[in-house]
Amino acid sequence: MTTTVEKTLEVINRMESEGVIKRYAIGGAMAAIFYIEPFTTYDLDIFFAADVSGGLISLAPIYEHLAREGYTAEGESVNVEGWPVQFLPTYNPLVAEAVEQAVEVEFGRTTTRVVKAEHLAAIMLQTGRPKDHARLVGFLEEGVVDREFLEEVLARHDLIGKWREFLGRFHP
Amino acid sequence: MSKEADISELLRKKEERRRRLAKLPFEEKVAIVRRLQEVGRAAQASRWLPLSRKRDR
Repeated sequence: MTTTVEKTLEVINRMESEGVIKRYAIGGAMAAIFYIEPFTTYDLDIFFAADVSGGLISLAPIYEHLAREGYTAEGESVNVEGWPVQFLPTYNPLVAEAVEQAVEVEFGRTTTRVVKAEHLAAIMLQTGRPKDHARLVGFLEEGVVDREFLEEVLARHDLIGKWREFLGRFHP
Repeated sequence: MSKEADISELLRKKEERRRRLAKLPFEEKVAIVRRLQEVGRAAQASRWLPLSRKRDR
C-alpha cells in the first residue's frame, strides 16, 4: 500500500526529474526521525540545491508548479498529499554539502534522499536553538554519528568553536 | 525494592524503548509521527489546559 508520505515523496521525485527543483534531500525534523526515535513534527523539510549567492531566490516556480498539480500553499508550506512541505534552498555551504552528500533510502517502494546524520548534527549546531541542542544530544547518545566525520564537517564549516562550547555545556 | 531502584528500572525501560523506536524502519516511524500529530491536534481541539490554568478560570 502506498502511504500518504510516500505519495508526497513521489510528487517531489517527479519535480526533481522534471527539473522543477534540482537535487533534493529530506532535512529537518523528519530527517532526524530517520536516525532517532520519532517525535511530533508537522512539516516535511525539503532542502534543494540552489545558487543563493545573490541573496535571493524565488520559490514561485515551485509554488506555481504545485498549484497546477492541485496542491495549495499553507503559509510557508505547500500541502502535498496531506503533508505540509517546506521547500528550502541550500542557503549556505553546509546545507549545500548536506544535500550534495545525502544518502539514498527506500521509503516503501519509493527512493528518496535523507541528509546524513553528521550533516544534520552540524546544521543543528549551526542553528543552535534549544531544540537543536536537545536533538543533537539525542544523536550523540544514540550513537548515530561518526564523530571523526562530524569533526571534519565542523572544521570545514568553521563550527569547531561552537562544538567545543556545546560539549562543555552538555557533556554528551 | 527501594524507590531509587524502582526509578532506575523505569529509566532503564524508557531507554530501552527509546532505542527500540530509534531502530524502527523509517515508514513505521513516520506512521508514529502521524499518530502523534493526531493526538496533538485532538488535544488542541479539546483545548487541553494545564490544571493551574483551569483553576484560574
